Amino acid sequence: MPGYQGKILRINLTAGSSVVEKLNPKWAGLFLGGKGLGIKYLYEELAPGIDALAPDNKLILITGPFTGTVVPCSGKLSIVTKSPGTGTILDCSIGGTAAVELKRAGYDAVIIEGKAAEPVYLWIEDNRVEIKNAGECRGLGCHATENKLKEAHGEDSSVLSIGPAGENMVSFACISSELYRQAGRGGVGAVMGSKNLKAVAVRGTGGVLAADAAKLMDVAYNAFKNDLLTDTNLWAYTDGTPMLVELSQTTGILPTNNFQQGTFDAFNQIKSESVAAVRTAKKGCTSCGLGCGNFVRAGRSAVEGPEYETLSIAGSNCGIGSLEAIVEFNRLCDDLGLDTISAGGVTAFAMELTEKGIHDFGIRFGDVEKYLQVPGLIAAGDGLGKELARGVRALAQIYGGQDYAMQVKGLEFPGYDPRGSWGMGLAFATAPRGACHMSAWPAADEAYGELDPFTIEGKAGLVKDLQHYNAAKFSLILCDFWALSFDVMAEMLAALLGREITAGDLELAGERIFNLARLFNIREGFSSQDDVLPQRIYSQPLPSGATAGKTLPEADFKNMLAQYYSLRGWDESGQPGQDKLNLLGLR
Amino acid sequence: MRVAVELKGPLAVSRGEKHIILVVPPRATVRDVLIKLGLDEKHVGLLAINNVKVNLDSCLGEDVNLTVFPVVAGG
Amino acid sequence: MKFNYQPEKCIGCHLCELACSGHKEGQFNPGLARLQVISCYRSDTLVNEARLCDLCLNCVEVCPTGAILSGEQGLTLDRDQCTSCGTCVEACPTGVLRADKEGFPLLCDGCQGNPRCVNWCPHGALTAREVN
Repeated sequence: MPGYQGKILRINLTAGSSVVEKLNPKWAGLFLGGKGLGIKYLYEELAPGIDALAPDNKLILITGPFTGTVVPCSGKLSIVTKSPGTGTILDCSIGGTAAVELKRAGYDAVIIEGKAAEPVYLWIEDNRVEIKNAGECRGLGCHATENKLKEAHGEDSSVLSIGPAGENMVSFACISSELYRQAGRGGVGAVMGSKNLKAVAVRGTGGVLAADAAKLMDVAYNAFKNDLLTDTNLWAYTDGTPMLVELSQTTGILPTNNFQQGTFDAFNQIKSESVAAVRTAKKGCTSCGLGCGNFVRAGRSAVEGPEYETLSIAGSNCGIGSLEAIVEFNRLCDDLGLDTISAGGVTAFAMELTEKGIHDFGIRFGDVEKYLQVPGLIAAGDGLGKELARGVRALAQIYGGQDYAMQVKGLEFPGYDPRGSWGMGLAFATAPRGACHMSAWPAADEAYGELDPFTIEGKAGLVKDLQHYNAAKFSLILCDFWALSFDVMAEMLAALLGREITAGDLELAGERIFNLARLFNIREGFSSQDDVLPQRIYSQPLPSGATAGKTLPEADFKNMLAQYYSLRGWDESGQPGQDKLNLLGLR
Repeated sequence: MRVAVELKGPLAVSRGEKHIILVVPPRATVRDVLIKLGLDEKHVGLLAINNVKVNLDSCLGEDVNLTVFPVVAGG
Repeated sequence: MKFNYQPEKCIGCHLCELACSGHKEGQFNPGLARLQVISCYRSDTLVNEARLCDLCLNCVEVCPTGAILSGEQGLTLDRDQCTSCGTCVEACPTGVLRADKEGFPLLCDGCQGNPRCVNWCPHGALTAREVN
């Protein structure tokens, strides 16, 4: 079966058993792999309404058809589960080497069920699958865990691990690999912790077959040379995501002081040139021709990062302009196993609650010393950390500040202010996993591009199309930093699988996958009532820069949402109509 | 008119210089500068004059700073 | 064909190994590549090392059956003569030479002057030059 290994490894941690099953080829055809196929398996296998941290939840690690081939930027792994932070479907992707090792071991996916009685880790080496005692790793950070397991299983193995935050089931704990790569959002690490699964170590020695390897190499090489390695994508190599700091500052969407401002006075200290000045090395994932990773050393602290989302949400949004402090915060979160976006977001929210006198958390904007204590306290669940570990939504329910609790469906905002990128508001409101920049990223077209960011005209269609594009791309598993067309994706997939595939087929698959994620959420009780933004976005004008005086008025937002539902063939409650489901083969 | 151009990321790398001083005729536009520098519009993203977003047809002024960002994807 | 590797330009993508195995073996498997890049992830950096055939010709010299031939571009194997004895693999000073499942050595012939590993190296870490 070219492009796929045709096998799924199912692990039951309660029983301590593993079994190899056949991959469902029909589902692979309809949902491609990665994100889409993972959502399909979860949708079919998970009973509605289960507690995301109960043994009933499943954790799916899944590769894509391009994983392990020479197709560039295909090295990421998808992780799919039900989110403990939001209760929605959750899919994350993580870079590094794990996906390729898993596929080389002979599996398209691993489905992890149940809960081990004691902390364990999984060791997968081709046909050999062992559930091993992880007692020695208990309480260790991701870095020490990974290093320990690589000592045991070899430097060429790949390790996915959780830190103390995951063990303690913090609702925004992440899964880490290669020290600084994360499946960051929505609490995937907490699900792993709930299963008493400290890590997965994997090494494979096999290969991946294409229907026509020579043809695939020709097609992929053409895309590599004439599409990937051009000035359209190479910002990811020359700068990486820190490039976005100045773009956001210039366009007034750089979250500052918990989204009270869209510009940050100290942005020069955290912009790309400042990160590049302390850069020591570059890094790419397996098969990546771009290499977005920046190793930096700022003062005493070294990290691979910080990415834009960290520089903005855990930097300017916390009033922190010290690059050294952000690098250290980043390193702490990575080691403890915390998502820097949600950790930064909840810190900023606590800072504002304190400054407004709503509740004194003892932490204020720009307070570097306190800020650097936060990750450790959250991971351990101590004092202030026990409160912040709840996340922004729960904190607002207890202490107040609902209007400026910057979250959707319980997921904290990433680094783009929708008041200066109205399509981004729609993207946050409708993304299946909550306020998320990975479902669609219209900021590139409106704030940073030529479209007017302060209108709803054309935005419903733009967001819908981008959501299909990303759904297809992340199911094939190609990195979001490669701005390739559906045509190029289709040409490579056709060569890999040896059958005709058109751009239209992939676009339709993207729509199918996006709608299936919606169906999952509807089954969990979500509706249009949850497709909303915090009041601050609707009614509090930004004070400075290109967005001075701007909001995204609620009436405009609602119009945009109604247009979006209509374009999607969804009814007013946000439920996909029968015609649409029939068209997509989801009935 | 004298214009200080700053190229960002790959645009600077492929040209081999990041900061360029140009002399352009009065009423020259941003597009004129890109043509003069041989930059392909499809690789150009955000444009800013003195840190304010502009477009290709925007006119330059005396002694302005023009920043040219590449297109970006992902996030 | 002689290869040169500059680790400071290497991002650890392993496209070289994937392209090599895809071209030579018709499957994507770094374990069957004619070169190896070893990436070690450290807390403050990524350390990459490469093993490449440097045409020392030790394998040619030690082959008991004369199955390894040295040509203009690189090495080729006469599979009829090879007995899969593994002597060449043991004699390889860089450790780059490995055997496939049947015991045949995976020799680098420089892709007959069009080395795929170099073509696929995104940032110029791997280069090649013709040698006589």
